[in-house]
Amino acid sequence: MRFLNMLPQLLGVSFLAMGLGLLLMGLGRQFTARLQRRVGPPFYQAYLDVLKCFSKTSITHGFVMDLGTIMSLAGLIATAYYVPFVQWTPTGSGSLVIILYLMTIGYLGMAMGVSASGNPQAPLGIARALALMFGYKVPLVMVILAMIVVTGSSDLLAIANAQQGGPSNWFLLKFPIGFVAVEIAFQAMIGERPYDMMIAPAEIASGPMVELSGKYLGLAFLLHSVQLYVETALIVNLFLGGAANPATFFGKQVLVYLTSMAVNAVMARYRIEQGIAHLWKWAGSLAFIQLLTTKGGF
Amino acid sequence: MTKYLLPALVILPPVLGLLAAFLPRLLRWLLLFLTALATATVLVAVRPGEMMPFSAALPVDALGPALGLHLALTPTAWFFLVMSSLATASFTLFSLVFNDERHDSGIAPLYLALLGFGSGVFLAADWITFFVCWELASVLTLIIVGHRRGHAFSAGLWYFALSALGSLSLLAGAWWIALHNGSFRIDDSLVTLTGWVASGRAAAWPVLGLFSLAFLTKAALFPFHMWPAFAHAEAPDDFSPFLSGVLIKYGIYGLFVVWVPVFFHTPEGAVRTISGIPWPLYILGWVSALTAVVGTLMAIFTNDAKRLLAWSTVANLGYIGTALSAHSVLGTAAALFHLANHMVFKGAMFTTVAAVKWRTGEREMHRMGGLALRMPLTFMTFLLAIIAAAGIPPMSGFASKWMIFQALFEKQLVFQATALFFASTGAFLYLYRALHSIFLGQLSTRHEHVREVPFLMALPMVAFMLALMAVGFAPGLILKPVNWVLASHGLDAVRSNWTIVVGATAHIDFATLFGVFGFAAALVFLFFVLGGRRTKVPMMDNYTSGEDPADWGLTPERYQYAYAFYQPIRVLFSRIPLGATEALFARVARALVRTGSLVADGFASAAFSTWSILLGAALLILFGVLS
Amino acid sequence: MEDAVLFNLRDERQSAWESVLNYFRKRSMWMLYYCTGCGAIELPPSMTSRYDMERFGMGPMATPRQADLLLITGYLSVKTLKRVIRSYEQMQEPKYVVGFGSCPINGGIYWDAYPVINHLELFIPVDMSIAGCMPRPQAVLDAFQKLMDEIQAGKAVGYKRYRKHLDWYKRNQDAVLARTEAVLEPWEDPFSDAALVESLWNDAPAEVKEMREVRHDA
Repeated sequence: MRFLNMLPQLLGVSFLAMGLGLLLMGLGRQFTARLQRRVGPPFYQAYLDVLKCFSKTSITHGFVMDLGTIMSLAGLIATAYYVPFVQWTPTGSGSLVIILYLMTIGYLGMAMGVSASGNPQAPLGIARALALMFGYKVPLVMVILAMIVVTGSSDLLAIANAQQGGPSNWFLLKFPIGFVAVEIAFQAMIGERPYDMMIAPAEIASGPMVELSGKYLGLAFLLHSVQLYVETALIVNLFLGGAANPATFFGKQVLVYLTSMAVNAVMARYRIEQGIAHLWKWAGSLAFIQLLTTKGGF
Repeated sequence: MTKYLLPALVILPPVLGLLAAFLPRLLRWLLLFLTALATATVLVAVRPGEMMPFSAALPVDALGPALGLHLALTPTAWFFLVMSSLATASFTLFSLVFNDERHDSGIAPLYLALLGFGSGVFLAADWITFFVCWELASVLTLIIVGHRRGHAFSAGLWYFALSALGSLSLLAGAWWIALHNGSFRIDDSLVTLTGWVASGRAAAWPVLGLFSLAFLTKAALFPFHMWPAFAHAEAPDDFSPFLSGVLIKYGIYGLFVVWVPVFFHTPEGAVRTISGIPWPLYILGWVSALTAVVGTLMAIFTNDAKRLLAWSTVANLGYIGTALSAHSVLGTAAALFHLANHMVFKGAMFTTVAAVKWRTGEREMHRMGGLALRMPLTFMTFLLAIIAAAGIPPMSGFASKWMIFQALFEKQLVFQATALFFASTGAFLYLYRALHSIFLGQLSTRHEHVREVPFLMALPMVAFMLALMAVGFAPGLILKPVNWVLASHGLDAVRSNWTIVVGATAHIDFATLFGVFGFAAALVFLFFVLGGRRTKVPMMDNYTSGEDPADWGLTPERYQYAYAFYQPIRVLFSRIPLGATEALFARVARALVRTGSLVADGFASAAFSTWSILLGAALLILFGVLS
Repeated sequence: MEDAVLFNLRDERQSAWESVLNYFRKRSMWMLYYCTGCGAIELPPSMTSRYDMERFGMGPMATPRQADLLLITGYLSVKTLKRVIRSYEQMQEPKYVVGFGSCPINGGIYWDAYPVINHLELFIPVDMSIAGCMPRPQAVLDAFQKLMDEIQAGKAVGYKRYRKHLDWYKRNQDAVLARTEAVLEPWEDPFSDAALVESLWNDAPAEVKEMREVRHDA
């Protein structure tokens, strides 16, 4: 019964996550274009792209590809149900462990779907993405653990609530080293330069997306949009104190994303092992220092 | 009637094993399956908490403390036995079909005997019974693993030597205590040991060390982490699930039985603590976390499907050990919970890999690929199992991993938690790699005609899938029995009902988790249906920069990326000698075999002589302690 | 004359729903281009800051699966034609083809070169041709604008023609691709023979012929 009452909210959050995520993508492209002194696409370009993708015919290489594609977006949308939006989640829980692991089912679905296409470029891209994940998960988790030590809760809602009462209470100021570490990790999480080796269009023909067409590509677009929504919201809740109203919340998300897009616009691409080593060396050691100073021992 | 239930569980299977040696192939395996099924049925039917103690002393009193067969069904034993016998029943049903004329490994009689001695390890109420069952189980395992496999036999030998050394130290520890309190009974000696620890008596630590060596070796914790890679990988394919799912848990059982009473029932301040945890547990925690990391890395770099799973087992035992060493109700419960989950998902994974090998004859992952199209059910089982193994919701593995992390958060063991997160991310890497290399990508032309497994083999797979989902939906299914075990040790229960578990820093409603994921999947499926028409194309119809694969002689085998999958990570770790311990122990083993051969002077095999040396050493120690 | 084409395709005339979808299609064209001809050099300025085609939602894509628009950038050799056809067939509908410069129209300065094909329209349907040797980026963008109008009007339906008259296209493709196999004796280039090309066109389905005439008139 409680679950049935939850359904409208779940539906709302699903579309909110996809909608805001696509808007973020559009704004990011617009922003990059301005940096390059171009007019750039309209801010609603991502919506047009997705709708066009769904209007096309597509190919499949078998049921695993369909299953994987569905599983991937479902996993990310389910994650969005646990990420607080303006201090609220439809499920009433913001467990960080759930968020970290539910996101993984999205990646597993994607990885499975594209590998089933039989094109070796796809698993090649996935292998790179997973290797990179090995690099950014650990710094991210260390900073999150530092917050758990301080707040005594692994619930994102509680962590966001602990930062209420103005920017001076934001964890951005309490965990400045950790923030830098997570920003570096974030760049890798959303796969922007210098960590875009899993897509690398000119090198491995866009890696995981090589065989995606029509609605499969549309679902992959939605996956990326929800991923952007979830990961920017994660940073807003962890460091920027959440928000009191939707507009402020989204504003902060845009800020986080555009920062990363600005870096993306001026960087070149790492080789994969350089990328992981860089993540461990910089993000990892910063996060380690943050955790060690917060915990004060092993 | 119930009076003879426990001895029957221990003695009947070996007797049936003797009988089975004279039966035709099919009947042997049928007998094995029926025995396993009967064991599971009986144990599930028994009311937990009913101890049914059984005692039969030997008519010799020359040896001091009374020797004999002493059995009791403690709640802990009941939990381990029920879980392992349910898993074993599924494994043996699989074996029943697996061992057709072409694949018969002929191990059914030994397997039967092993079932009995395995139960004996859990049921033993005194150290002598425990030692005998433990040792017989080890010997039988060695014979089964090395059966018809010369190379594997010598590979497993040094593990066996280690294991024998461990069990001898166990016996020595038991004897040490028996010299003081005159009893070999496990509960008596634990009371004595707890008293020693509480009173700060120096002898407590060597005794605990002697006990633990056997368990740490068996549980494959660092630095004994390399034997499963040989034993589990080289064992008969249908026996590997049992080895990895059940047998390796004996070590954890031992640790649990000895360490939990000792450390939970000593008063505060009796033992030095680090970060609020008794120092031996703190060390065990780091050893286990290290085991998880090393096991994971080794699994990432291996190309052999069974070895990959064996290393994954090592990593999972690392998780269990870390949880156990968190020294809290939550951690102890999480260890038991993860142990039960591991039985199912690792069993399922080994079973599917065995099924694949049964159909294709392949073990090296890069030689397979695309089998999902030919063996969809096997693929689904493997998929759900890796979801559980990677700790991804909504399968069972997530619930236990979540509890492990909660336990670590509670004690603020953040660096161990980091190590486990590292291992857990790595688990996702190697599990995906196995999924891809075996089931996805291009189907080799050699495997064009591979078929799905027959019905009876599919049955255990379906059972595994149901178990994984059911526990993921309602962790209470396992946590309730876990709470009985905790209660029997005088610990608080984990706060939970069927679907909600309360952790230290958060609580989770797993049914909601299951539900929202289902809802999201339904929504996405709707999008999928609403999208444009889709066409199925052949696997070789791929983006190849416009080239026609046929023009270039490109075969499906060559159009598959599976070999040296995580090369960049290997490059990163090229300077770290991950195989160093392995090499060290291999040298010890070679020396051991050489000495053994020297003594036997070519009369017996190396194995025989090693065993006799160890036996001799055991006797020497025994009588040395006695006099 | 254009009406006649529309009339011919009346059975596939667009519904209101289709015209909504066409709006998205025209505003989000993803390109696939093989830089095998000289026209590739005109694309970077069209894409980057100077002419910025992304403002129309256009952008490069890595594989034919993802693309809507196939660019034939300049002359097309027989060897490349084989790859182009495979790529075109791997693209998902609706899909459009744009020929750059004179060469895809009539062979251009390579009209008598043995390895270059002269009439791209004989092998795959072309939705838009840009005359010139080479067309400047302004002309390229102008062509894309016109293509967008045609997509919106439901007139850029080359992919439907291809599907409908697959036999005819395949026959032409086979006739020229058979030559790519090694031959020892000197052979006659069938496509340099104007009479033969004309006979192929005579066999062409009415719709395809009319499309050709529309282009030539324009």
